[in-house]
Amino acid sequence: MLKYLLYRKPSFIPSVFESGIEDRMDENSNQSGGNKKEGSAKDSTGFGNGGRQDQDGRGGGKSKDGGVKSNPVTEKRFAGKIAENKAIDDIMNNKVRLYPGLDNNKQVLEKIFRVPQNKDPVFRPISIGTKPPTRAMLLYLDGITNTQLQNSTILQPLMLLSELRNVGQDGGAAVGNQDDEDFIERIKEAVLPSNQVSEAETFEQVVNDVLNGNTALIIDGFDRAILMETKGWQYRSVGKPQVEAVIRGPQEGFTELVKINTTLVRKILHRPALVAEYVNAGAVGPAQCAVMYLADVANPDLVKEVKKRLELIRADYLSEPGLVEQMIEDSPVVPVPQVLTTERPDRVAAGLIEGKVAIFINGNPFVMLVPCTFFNLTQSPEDAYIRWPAGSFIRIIRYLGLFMALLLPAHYIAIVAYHPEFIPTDLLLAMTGAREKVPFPSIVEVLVMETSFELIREAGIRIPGTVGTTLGIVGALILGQAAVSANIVSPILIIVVAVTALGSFAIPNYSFSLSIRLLRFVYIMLASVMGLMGILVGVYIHIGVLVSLKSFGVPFMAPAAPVTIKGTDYFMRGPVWSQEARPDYLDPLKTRRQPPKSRSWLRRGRGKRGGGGK
Amino acid sequence: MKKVISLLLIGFLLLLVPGCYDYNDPDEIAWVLAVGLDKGKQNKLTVTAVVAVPKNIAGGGGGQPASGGGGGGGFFTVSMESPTFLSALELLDSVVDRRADLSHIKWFVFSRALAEEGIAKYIDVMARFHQFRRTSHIIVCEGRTEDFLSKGVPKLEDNVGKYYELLQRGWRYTEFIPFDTFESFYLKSKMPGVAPLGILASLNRKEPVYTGNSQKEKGNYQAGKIPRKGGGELEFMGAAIFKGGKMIATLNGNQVGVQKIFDGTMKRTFINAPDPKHPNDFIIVEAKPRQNPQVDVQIIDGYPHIAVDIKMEGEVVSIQSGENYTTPDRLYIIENAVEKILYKEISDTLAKSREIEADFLGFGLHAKKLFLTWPEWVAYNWDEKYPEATFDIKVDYKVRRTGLLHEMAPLQ
Repeated sequence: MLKYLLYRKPSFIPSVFESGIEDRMDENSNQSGGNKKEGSAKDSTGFGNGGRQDQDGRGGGKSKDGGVKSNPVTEKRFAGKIAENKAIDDIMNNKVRLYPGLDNNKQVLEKIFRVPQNKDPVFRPISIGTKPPTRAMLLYLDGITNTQLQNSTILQPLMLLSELRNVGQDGGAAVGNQDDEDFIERIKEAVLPSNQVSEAETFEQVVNDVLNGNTALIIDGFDRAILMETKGWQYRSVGKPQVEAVIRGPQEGFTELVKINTTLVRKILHRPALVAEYVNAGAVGPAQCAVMYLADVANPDLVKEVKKRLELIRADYLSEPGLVEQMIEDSPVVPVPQVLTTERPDRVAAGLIEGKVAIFINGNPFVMLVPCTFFNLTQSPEDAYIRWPAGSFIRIIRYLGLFMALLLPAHYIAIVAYHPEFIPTDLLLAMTGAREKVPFPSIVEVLVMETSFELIREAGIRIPGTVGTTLGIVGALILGQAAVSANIVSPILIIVVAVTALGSFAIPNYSFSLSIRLLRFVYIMLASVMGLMGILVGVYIHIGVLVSLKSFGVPFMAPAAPVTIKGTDYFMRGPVWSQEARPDYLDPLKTRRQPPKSRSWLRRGRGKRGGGGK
Repeated sequence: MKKVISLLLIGFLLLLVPGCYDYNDPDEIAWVLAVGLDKGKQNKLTVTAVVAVPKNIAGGGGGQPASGGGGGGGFFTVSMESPTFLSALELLDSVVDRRADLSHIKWFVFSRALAEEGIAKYIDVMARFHQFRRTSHIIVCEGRTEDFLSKGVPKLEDNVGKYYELLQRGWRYTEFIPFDTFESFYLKSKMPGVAPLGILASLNRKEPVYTGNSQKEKGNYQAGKIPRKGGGELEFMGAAIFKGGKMIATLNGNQVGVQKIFDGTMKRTFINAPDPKHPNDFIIVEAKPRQNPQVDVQIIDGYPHIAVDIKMEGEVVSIQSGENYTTPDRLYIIENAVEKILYKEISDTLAKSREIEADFLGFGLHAKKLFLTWPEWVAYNWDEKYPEATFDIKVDYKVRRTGLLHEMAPLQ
């Protein structure tokens, strides 16, 4: 370790991951990594070596210094495999068209899906019940399709009922001289009662659709395939939000499936202008990432920017908003989230109505809302659901919590060590008396306690549920009476740490809370060096950074800095009827949400009814 | 990686910095809660510092008595002979292991002997040195300050700092304790037209002195002369008037009450007014200012003529005679009786202020506006003209409530 610290040879040292040991194990087990290739259509230039890309998984694909190198040993040993992979990639990337012959197509698809090692793809040969029978083949992935649906809407009609509908290849009674085109059309129109049917001409289309749970029908003699909707994978049902719980308000949370998530929002916003666009973000594959906005409200530039950023991501594995967030945020270095992540459909709907854009990623119950400001991060949807005085009150409590979580230990240090004249004599003497037997300086005390609190917090998340109660006991011992009676810390510090903890739990946004936890230590350091002066310097820099920050073009501290038109809902919570305008910083297409007299029943005849948003 | 490690190292090094400069944990500091100055026995001054013993205070008291002359109350005192005030505090560091910190001082106690000699040179350091806070109070004690501080052990509190605060806070509840923080004391000292005052205090005497049991005004006493037995070790009553940095006179409780009416620091008081129909009985009322005192100063023939208008109000606390004065048509009897006694107290106090030639009531502050420029005002020489001033006193008292009894019948 020390050797590397002092001197490092400017040569390449292969790590365990880069040596390819893990990859080789992967390859031996039937190359299961192949599934991840589907979205690579657009990024054939993104990586030097297509073969490497799909074996490296997360580690290799995201190296920032571009120093991703193939291991020559591996390359030599598996030259055949790599060549094969490359050939398959070429088929996908170059959008090779299907062959007219069924057997050729089957051969290629088997190669692509790595059959026979891979047991999941099912190639089901059938014969369509025409006169004479037509040879065809169904392709789907076992387990992610709905078997009943396949039986009743694909197999049955094709094998048993097609005769009844007269779709003979050789010219049935209904139609005279049919060519190829008509046969496929007839199948689609008359035989398949699937609710979504489309056609594909390239291998890439077929493969992507099959990977998404659909079934492909390839008919002998045609260079096209019919794709039928048969998605039927397992997913968690819509449940309560786990992180953002509220007392009043809907108790529905997002689930892992992007389709369900967009539906949950659509359930709240019954508007034709609610657009859900599917975007290819990185290699997550088509139809995995949705951008949702209200076409008549959201600023088109904002929508364009969001789509642009998503589409221009070049990455391998991004099926988590946290990863996408890091790819699209404006300033990745600043420890403040610039994207609002939520698992509540109502919150997303509220954001969309304001003119924000939501980004859904498949496979995760968290949805991103952009742009995001400081005030969004400190708000909870519940503020709006309760009456406004209470809403304002809990916001004040939350700002207090924010202050406590960020600055309380630092202030403790500063006041105790540098400014004892700040506190009443009684308290000072009580604190001094309690500290008499503590052997450490206050700063060490604070660091010990804060670190052990962070440990407890981290352990609390990672601990298996069955032994969870142990943690409570251990935690209570560390952060409790035992520490005091052992004279390690003074009792007042326990209170400081506890209040700090409460404060950080009151912050509604998890990643914001994380950043506060991190910055707390910086402030403790500053306070221990320069007292309140240090804290002041820290706050000065901190606010300066926040003010210069932008989230998708919107200043992070808007509408406070820069000062723009403020609604009644940014710092405190105003009454609902006074919230007439959408946030100015979003520059929406419609500024007005409701007319000045939104409670038209108030003075009859004088209030203007309707007309909102015009 | 290199960057991260170097950042961590810098962070760790930062932790070492605090030890170098000004970082003091509170348990490494001796908290001085009061300082007393007296004429020296061997040097120019005897400086007494009250140092808190936090472990006794935080632990609920009852610890072992520490060095010096102290006892319980979680403190000990150190008295040192020294030529100046601050040099004594330096001496303190050589007899107390912890570094002395003066930022929590509550009281500056001067002995009467020193105060009469002049305290101007000590006021300067209090105003100038950054550790002294201006919310502390100036106290003049009868006798030696070292005894006053070392024997002033609280009966109710474990924390002597709290004892000092609460004892001084009596100004809110009684008219006998004046209120001048060091800040206002200092400002009044600098300003022509008003004289500052310090709290007059004393140790409890061993044996009370009783001078016959004739009827006397309750506020007719001052610290050191309160006829009492038992109670706390320290007593606060009356005030010491300063002029030119020297204590020139004392005020008794009643006079302090009048001073507080004009100073605006009077919150409430009880007034014992003789019952006009029953000479041996009192009507006791609560009185509080209804509005700020109206003071109108005119310069007539070069000398001030001061018209004061005092408006007070309150409720009846007791009518000893049982006479029913509480009907609306008879309330004026109570009001007149109270006004009479108030008038007497005010005119007595005004007479006192003229007698000692010190305007401790602050009429000069009202006269100031008659002069267009500061030099004119200084040239008028208020302090010289004030003793020749004439007064016109108006007192108005209104009974607002009659207490819990309405129409009282005498005991049968």
